[in-house]
Amino acid sequence: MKIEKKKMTGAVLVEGGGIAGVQASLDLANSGYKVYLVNRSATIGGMMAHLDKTFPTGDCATCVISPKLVECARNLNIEILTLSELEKIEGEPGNFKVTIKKSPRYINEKICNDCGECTTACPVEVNDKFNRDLGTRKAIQKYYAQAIPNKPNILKLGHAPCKTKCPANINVQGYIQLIKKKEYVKAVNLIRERNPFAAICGRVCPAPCEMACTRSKVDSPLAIRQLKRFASDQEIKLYKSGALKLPEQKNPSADAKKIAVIGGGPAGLTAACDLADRGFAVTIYESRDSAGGMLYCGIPRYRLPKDILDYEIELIKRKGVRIVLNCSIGKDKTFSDLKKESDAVFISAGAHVSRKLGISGEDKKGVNYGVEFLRQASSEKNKPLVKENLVVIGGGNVAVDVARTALRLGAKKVELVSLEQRNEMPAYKEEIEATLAEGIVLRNGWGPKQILGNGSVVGIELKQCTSVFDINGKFKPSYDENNTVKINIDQVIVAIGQMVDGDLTRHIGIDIERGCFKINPFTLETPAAGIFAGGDNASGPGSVIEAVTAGKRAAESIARYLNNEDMLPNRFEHSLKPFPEEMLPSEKNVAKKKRASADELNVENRIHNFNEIEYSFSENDAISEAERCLNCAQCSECMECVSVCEKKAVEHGMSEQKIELEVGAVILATGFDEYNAEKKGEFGFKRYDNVLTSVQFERMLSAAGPYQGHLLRKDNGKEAKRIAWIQCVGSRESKPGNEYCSSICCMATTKQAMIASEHVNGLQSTIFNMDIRAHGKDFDQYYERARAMKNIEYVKSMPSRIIQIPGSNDLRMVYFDPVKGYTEKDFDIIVLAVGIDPKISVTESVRKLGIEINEFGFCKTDRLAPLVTSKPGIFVGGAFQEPKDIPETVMQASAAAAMAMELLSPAQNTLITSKEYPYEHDVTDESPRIGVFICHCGMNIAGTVDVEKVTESIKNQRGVVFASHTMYTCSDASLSNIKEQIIKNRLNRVVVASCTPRTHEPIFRETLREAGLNQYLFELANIRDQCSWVHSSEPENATDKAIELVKMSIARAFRLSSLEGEKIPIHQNAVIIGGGVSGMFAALSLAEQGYDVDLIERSSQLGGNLALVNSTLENENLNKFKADLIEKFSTHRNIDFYLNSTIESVSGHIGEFKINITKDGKLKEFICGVIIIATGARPAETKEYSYGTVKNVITQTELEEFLSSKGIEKKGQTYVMIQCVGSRNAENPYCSRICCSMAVKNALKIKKEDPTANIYVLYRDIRTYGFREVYYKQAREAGVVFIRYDENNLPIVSDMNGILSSVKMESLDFPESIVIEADHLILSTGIKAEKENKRISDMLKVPLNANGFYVEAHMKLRPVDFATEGLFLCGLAHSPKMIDENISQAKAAAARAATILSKTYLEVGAQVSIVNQDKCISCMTCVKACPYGAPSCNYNHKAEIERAKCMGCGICVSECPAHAIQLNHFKSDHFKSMIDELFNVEETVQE
Amino acid sequence: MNDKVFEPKIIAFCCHFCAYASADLAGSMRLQYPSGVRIIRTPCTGRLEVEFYMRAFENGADGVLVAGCLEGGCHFIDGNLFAKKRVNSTRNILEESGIEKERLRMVNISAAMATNLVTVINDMVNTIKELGPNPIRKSIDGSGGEYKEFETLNSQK
Repeated sequence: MKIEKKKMTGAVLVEGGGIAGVQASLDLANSGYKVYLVNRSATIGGMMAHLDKTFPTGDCATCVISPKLVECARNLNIEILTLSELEKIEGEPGNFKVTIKKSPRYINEKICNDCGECTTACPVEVNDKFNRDLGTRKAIQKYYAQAIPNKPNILKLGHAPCKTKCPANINVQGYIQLIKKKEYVKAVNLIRERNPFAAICGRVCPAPCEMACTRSKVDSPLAIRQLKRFASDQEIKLYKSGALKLPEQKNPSADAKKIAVIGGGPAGLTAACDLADRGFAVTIYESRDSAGGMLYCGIPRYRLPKDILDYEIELIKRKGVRIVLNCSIGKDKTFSDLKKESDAVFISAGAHVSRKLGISGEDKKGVNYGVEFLRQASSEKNKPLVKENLVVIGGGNVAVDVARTALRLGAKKVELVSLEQRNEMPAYKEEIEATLAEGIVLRNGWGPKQILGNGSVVGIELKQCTSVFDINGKFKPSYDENNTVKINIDQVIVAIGQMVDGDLTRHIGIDIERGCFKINPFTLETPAAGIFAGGDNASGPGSVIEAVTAGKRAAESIARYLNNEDMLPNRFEHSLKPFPEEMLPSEKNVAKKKRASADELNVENRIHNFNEIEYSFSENDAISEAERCLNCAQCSECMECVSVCEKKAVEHGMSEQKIELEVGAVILATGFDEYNAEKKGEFGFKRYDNVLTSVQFERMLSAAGPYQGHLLRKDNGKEAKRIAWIQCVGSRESKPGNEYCSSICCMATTKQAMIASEHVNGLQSTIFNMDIRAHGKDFDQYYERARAMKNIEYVKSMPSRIIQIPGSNDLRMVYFDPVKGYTEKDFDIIVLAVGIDPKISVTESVRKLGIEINEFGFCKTDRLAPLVTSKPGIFVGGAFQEPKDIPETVMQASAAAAMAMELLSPAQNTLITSKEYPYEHDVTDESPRIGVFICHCGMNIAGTVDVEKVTESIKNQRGVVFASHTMYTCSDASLSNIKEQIIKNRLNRVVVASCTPRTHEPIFRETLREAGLNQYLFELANIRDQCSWVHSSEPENATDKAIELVKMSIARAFRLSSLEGEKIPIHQNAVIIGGGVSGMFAALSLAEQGYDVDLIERSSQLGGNLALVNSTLENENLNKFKADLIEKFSTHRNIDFYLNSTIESVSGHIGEFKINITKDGKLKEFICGVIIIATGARPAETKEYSYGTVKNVITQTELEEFLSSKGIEKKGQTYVMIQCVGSRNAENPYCSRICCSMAVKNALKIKKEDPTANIYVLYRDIRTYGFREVYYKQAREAGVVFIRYDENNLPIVSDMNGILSSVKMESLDFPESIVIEADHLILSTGIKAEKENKRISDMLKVPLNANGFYVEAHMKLRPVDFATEGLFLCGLAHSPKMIDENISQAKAAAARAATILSKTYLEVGAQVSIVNQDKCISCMTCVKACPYGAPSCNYNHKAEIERAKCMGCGICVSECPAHAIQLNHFKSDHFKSMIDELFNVEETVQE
Repeated sequence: MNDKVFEPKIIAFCCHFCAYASADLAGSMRLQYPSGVRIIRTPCTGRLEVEFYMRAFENGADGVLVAGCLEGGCHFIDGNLFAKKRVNSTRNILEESGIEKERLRMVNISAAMATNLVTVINDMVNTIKELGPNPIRKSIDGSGGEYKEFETLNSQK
């Protein structure tokens, strides 16, 4: 029967771009699967990219992760989707349909070439998340310098309240940022996009924006109005000085549609301005002798000088707006004529008629009205008559203006009578204060009863106003008619409000509502088609900014009306995105700063004239005030980035996308969050400057971080000499923390303390902890090294709180020291070792996908199936499964990739792409013809280096036949040009002078290949990173240096030759050594993927150490697991296994290893592509604590066997367990990792069977890491007693006649010795490496560490690879570990092996070392020097280098005493030619 | 003939994986250092031959900086240790030849240590400024005067 395989999709979606996601993606893509790498943030690299160094090797994190990230970005079969998240999964394993939500980057990634100009131009500085708020970044910036993809992104939170609360929605934040940058004209232009009256509103706007300003939460709002004024004043200054020219007069085209605007106030002018911009022919009909409306005749000149008004009107006129003055509709021209002449009409005639009091005596001479009074006062000629002693009635701004104007026109005594109490007055507070300062008297709470006099006013009778508003807040004054007062005066000016001119409304004849034109308030349409109305005559008296808003809206509506477009959709107002309050920047960390205030004319100098009272800010004040802006929306949309981006890659209008993909499997590797230290209020994080989280400290340590690697106190910038760490912040505790152990913090802290000691001379470090969990490979040795350092102190105590000492700002810790008792200690910096938190947002969305989440918020998995989620076809890797460190994360990621490969093997190689190149032409016999391409990199290079001079200076160099300079050499057009020039000029060498080969060499090499040239005929001169950027202050020297660098590259290029790699065939099968859990899992994984596997086992049975364990800590029964595994393994058709077999010899290299074994005395040979070592380890034996001599002293393994076979025989007995027997000492300095959990497991088992049993666990550190911590807690709750023993004073076992009697111990936590009468003593003896390892490692030429375990290629990022290609390892052979970790590592080894086995041949070694056989003197120095075992002695007794093994470092070349070896592409003459060229130049220069 | 202030010319051999990357980072951080430094990229400092250093000094380099990965962090396991050994022996040769050994220096710089690289460069430039120009270079230039003794030294060779 033929089994038909279901069709599957050969693509995998990996969510999470941390090291786990990156590793899984690389393994999959290199094994024949298409990968979509979906990442929530803008860059891949995850947490590891934030780290300074990694433990325990002290490797620089950036150094090791960057190449992986670059590899990911360059892999043709990995598509990176940043700012994206998995939203929906449909379908079944093998055939999923997934939906991805992609948030906008606002940068077109395809176009952007990472020149960085936008970042330089951006004025917005916000807290830098990458540096955990220790520094700032620009709103448009790359996440960090080496970020991949190496493109910036824009941080947008929506729109700031100042913008959303402004009626005209002016981009306030934007222009404030431009002011900060001294870009005043740009600032004013940005204002004018939403409001043509920048200078005017800078003086008279009520500034609702200031009311909304976020800064008011910190101290006081920004002086936004004055800033606007300052910017516009600068613009006017430039006009006046002639530095800036007024725009040219524009005129509408003859066929433009005509629009009539009635009234030239702010609403009419704004509408006209906008409509003229859109190309319409606009005519304003103004009834008075000057445009401006209330700006002209309502606002007194001391607030708004006439020249300012004229200036801004002039700007509008120049746009082509025609203004007809002295033309009153209804008198000088009829409305029907106007309608006939125009295609649309906008009515904005304002409200210029004063309301009357309606009391007796109002007809007397000497009674005037506010609006009319101000209008007269504003005219140059007929100034109104003012008597000496007058009263102004009203409490609004007009009344105030009237009073102050009257004073200036000669009134001696002015009294302002208002119904309202002072705090209720509608006039602006500042205006009232200015009024009082000028000597005007306020009479609050009074209303006019009657005006007295015969013919002329002689006085006024006032009645007391008892309340102005009713309970609903409506204006409804009530009076005490009996409480009156009479004052003698000569004039009354009534300023209690204004109305629309009734004559006008009657003449126009369209619907009226409460005295105003009836309109749709959003579109400003009146019921009559083509007629729009706005401003005071439609919505009642309002502020200038409201009128401007009406004008903007009207213009939009009129344009839509005339273009026959829908009125409502996509209006500007819809583009506003107010952001939620919780996103506002926290005010806690903002230093208070006083609001700037502008100077004013003093009272004596202003009350007799109309000179402007308020001065403009000084430049310093303005900039300092602008700096107060918190940039709460982050990006201010000032568009500076757009204006500097020559590639036009910035797209502020980008929006969210949904992407649908078809994939066969999904891997979740979404990682973790740091615990939020603010939840632990007692430690004062964010309240005290010098309390940092461990991630912040990591950034502080980083030389590339915000402190350049200096450990400085944030408060005073002094170097820290005393640093403390608090462990388990948020870990190993219930709310507000997490119950599990975060696994990584102890080592991270140890590393930080070690590295910090290198940074600060005489640093004292104190680490407060409960247990130090150094359970990883070689971790304990590292910890012991730290512990041995004099300046690092580990204190077993958990501090309860931190106090900041006033004055010095030192941090004081009070804690209980087991030795010294209550202790107080002061520190400069305290680091909170924050634990791992589940990512809430991820947890939620994963749950929505139908995947189970465990009680801690991580992905739910089973100990015996650690990679499988609750949904088939969806796998998990990394810290999203359980807190873990980098090597385990990498292992698990590879393992998850293996799971996907097992599932999708029928679809392998179905969706991958590979590139075809043209035939490479042979250049061996050609003389060099070099083409040189010099890059401007926008302004990045050309701004400092004179690229033309460079081009000119190198064009006559030997071999150069073509030289040019281009704007962006890496742009598609330039790359095509390089190809063209290669063909046209028959170039056979190419030199590009641009940026770093680390990012750009692959692109140019690719171009050469596309043009039929060998990729090694390329050379890159780095004149950006090494020249223009680092010598920007000395352009001449930079140019000279650039010339030299290019000449050196030309000299090297002259000597470059083509290189071909060697194609070696791959035997697509594997041999696995060792038949334990790891070996079997690795074999099964490869077999499931379709590869043939031979497994060689030394003993007579499969299963290895599984024979010794019966259950996991989680109480999963291992017997069935074991039986199933062996059954599945031994019946798999792709697996052959050989028991009782010994490896005799190994030879060969990647792709073709030969292994000889003996089985039952017979020799057998295997040839295979890869070898996986899974030789395991064994339980350590011991003779300590009377083991073997005293009865009832057993090992933990024996106890386990005993408990599962016999169970407890006698109840109520006392069990003592001693941990770390024979471990963590001089002889075996490593931690065996599993024993603590094993002790807890067995203790719990005993307690379950016999709750009356007494169990004492004597330990040094309990290392139940990860979720295992919960069982440690359960054991304590069950009554198991854990006592820490003194490692220098080991417990003593006493016996009576060979029978155990008691255990005596010293504990640092107790003052006196403890003696426990014990019935059983159980020793946790740990794990020991196999002795056999030595023999096998010699055969394979792979290293072992001091403890006999194999050494992997790289501790962090290549945990299952050997440095020798084609060899892999897993399981206990690598280091002690738990069963789930063995399973993961075994599968990881399989995945790594699959990256080789999936290919039929492998291209190796172009850039490799070659031995000149004639020169070789057979000293074999190279054999000794090579770290990879590539050279060997051949049949001729000469050295020969195996290309497949050579890594291209060139160590052998420099070591060879006979100069018999050369490294391709880095030959000695390549170096020498560069050294020579450099100094030839020097000579010519000096001549 | 040359009144210009002495600006030492230094060749910095930087390993591709760490020091070269940190020089790039110095660029992206816009750190500034003297322009007399010329970086030559090498796959590993282990690739550098004693001859390169000698040739640089013979040609007139005022200083040679060798910048490799941190010890224990070499991309090629221990290439930087080979380099260290060779640099140290070259320093002895230099000293014996009358060239100050301070002119050749090896440092360990990781890819993130841009500021450290710049500090090292500045430090080296200052040291060499104090030492004055490479004596061989001066004799090549024939600038004579105070460098006469070196000229004699050279002609005696």
